[in-house]
Amino acid sequence: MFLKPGGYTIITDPDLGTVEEDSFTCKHCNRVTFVPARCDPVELGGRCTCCDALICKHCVGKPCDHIERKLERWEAAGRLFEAMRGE
Amino acid sequence: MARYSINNRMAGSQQAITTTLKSQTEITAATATLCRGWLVEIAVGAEGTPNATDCNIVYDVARATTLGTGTAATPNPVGPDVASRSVGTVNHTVEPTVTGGAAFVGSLWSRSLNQRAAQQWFANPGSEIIWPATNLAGLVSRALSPTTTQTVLVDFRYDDL
Repeated sequence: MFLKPGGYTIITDPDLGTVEEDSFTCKHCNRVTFVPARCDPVELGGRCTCCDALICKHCVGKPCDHIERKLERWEAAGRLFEAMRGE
Repeated sequence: MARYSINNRMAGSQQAITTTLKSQTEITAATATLCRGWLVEIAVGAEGTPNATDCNIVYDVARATTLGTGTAATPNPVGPDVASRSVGTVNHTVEPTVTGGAAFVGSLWSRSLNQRAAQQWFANPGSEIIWPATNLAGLVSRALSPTTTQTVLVDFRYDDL
């Protein structure tokens, strides 16, 4: 389990009982990764050496592209689209 | 910032799940009240009578860029009693455009659960799933099952400005 988890989940299953896991949210793509107890950290992802944030295994080895930068790009594209549509 | 709750029991008729992903609850930004949103809680679970054959249901949350066709649902304020600036759509009959399409390529949150199981997820501050302040951009929850065709309940709690 994490010292500072990004989230927490509870699964209520009639066969398994209550299963609790921590989670973290990738700071590059915003995916949520669940962290089972005693799992191998290598299976979960890694830490970006640029923005120093936890990232999922899909973003490991790719250039740093923080979710905040992505949101700004998407919003700028949306504003441009709306401006073009209004002309 | 205020907190809101929306689920697919709030409006319209729940749609039975199939073998392909079917949208349940969607929350999107709208031009008239444009703002970002932060998804902070997800609760999922099956609602109908369990299938005689024990089976699984797969849930996911992905980014959407259109509303699709569904029933409009007004999110309930949980915090300050002010109307949400985001638009809720539930129980889709026509799927919205989803990043990654009908596959799980664009899934931001996904889990396969037994049909009799339920799950809740809570994000700590700074770890929310965020959608941009762009018209019709938002998040949609979907579900499928290879076996059962019952209905499911998906509840979102989110913050917007």
